[in-house]
Amino acid sequence: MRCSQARRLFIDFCEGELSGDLLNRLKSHLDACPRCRQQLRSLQRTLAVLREVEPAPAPPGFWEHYLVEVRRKIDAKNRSRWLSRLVPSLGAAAAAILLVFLLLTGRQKEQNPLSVSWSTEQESIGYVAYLGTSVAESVDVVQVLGEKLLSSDEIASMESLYCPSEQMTEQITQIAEEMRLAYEAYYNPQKGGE
Amino acid sequence: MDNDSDILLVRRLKQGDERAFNQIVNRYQQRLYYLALRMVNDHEDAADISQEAFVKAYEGLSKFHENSSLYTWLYRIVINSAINHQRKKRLWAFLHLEDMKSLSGSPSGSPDKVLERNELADAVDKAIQELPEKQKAIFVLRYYENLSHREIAEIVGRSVGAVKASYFHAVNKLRKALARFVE
Ligand SMILES: [Zn+2]
Repeated sequence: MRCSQARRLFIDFCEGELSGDLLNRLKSHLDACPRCRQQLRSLQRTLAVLREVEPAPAPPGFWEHYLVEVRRKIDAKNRSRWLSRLVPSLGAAAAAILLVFLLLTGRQKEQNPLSVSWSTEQESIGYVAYLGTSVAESVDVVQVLGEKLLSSDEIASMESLYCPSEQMTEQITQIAEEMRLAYEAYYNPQKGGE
Repeated sequence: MDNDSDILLVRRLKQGDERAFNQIVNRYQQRLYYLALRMVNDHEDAADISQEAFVKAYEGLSKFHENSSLYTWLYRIVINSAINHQRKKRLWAFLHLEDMKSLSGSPSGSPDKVLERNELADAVDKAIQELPEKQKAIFVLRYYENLSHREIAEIVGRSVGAVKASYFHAVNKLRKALARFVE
């Protein structure tokens, strides 16, 4: 048996999965080959060390609240479906613009709300397409964007929008329509006029 | 009642018995959390990934077929989410030219947590985090979760042969990464 063949059997050997002829051939190779013996020993020690290190324990109270947290997430998802219902009537693009708008008005920017670094046209389209696939997933994106662009208070106010009242939904629908027009004017200035 | 088989719990849940879902969560919360933690090495992210896996399971229950086992299904959700999560994080770090070290999990969390865990534990975490994502998944499922090659193949969508080869490579990388602790 060659060293390379022997070494390919080490894991099966450590897991106790070798038997019969193969096991005997490996053993006689090990008897004759100090380098393979050394490598096997280091493999066994590595596996022992990996077993020995326990993952850091979860913080106190974590398990007590785990189920409640799962239930809360299920409820939150059910509530966020209002936005999914909004999408077919507005179109994915408008919904995306709405989200961008919500992100940016939170910052009270003087400049055009669409002219942040990532909103070159391609990126916006990519972003819209991404949001279009699933509004639920866009929540992730918004949170990631939020972490970079918004303060924690602004994120909190964004999050509250995911379970708004009916009246708020109406307002948002209205804002989205305004945003759609603003978006069109921004990208087709000659058509939209000054 | 807590001894109901997974299949029975799934049937009860499909019939609208919400308590069955609570039992499923109680039964698997630790396994899913620690699986996610091994994958992403961050408590908050692991909590989120494992809890979201239950949410997805709850919502996708009608897609669950009784000929596969509940835990391989749950494991698959966690592994896929963890891999996506790491990719997103990497992409985000790349776009923002952030310190990539945070990805391989330099000691995080409260200072006393860092004190509690020693140098060896950090080296192990780091070595595991540096494996390619699928290889990491295969290693964790095999070594820590004791799943069979066939179950792992089902979860990660690779052949049994490819799973075995990946595991072999993972263990050898870990041996090299941890050499100074074991030689
Ligand atoms: Zn040899």
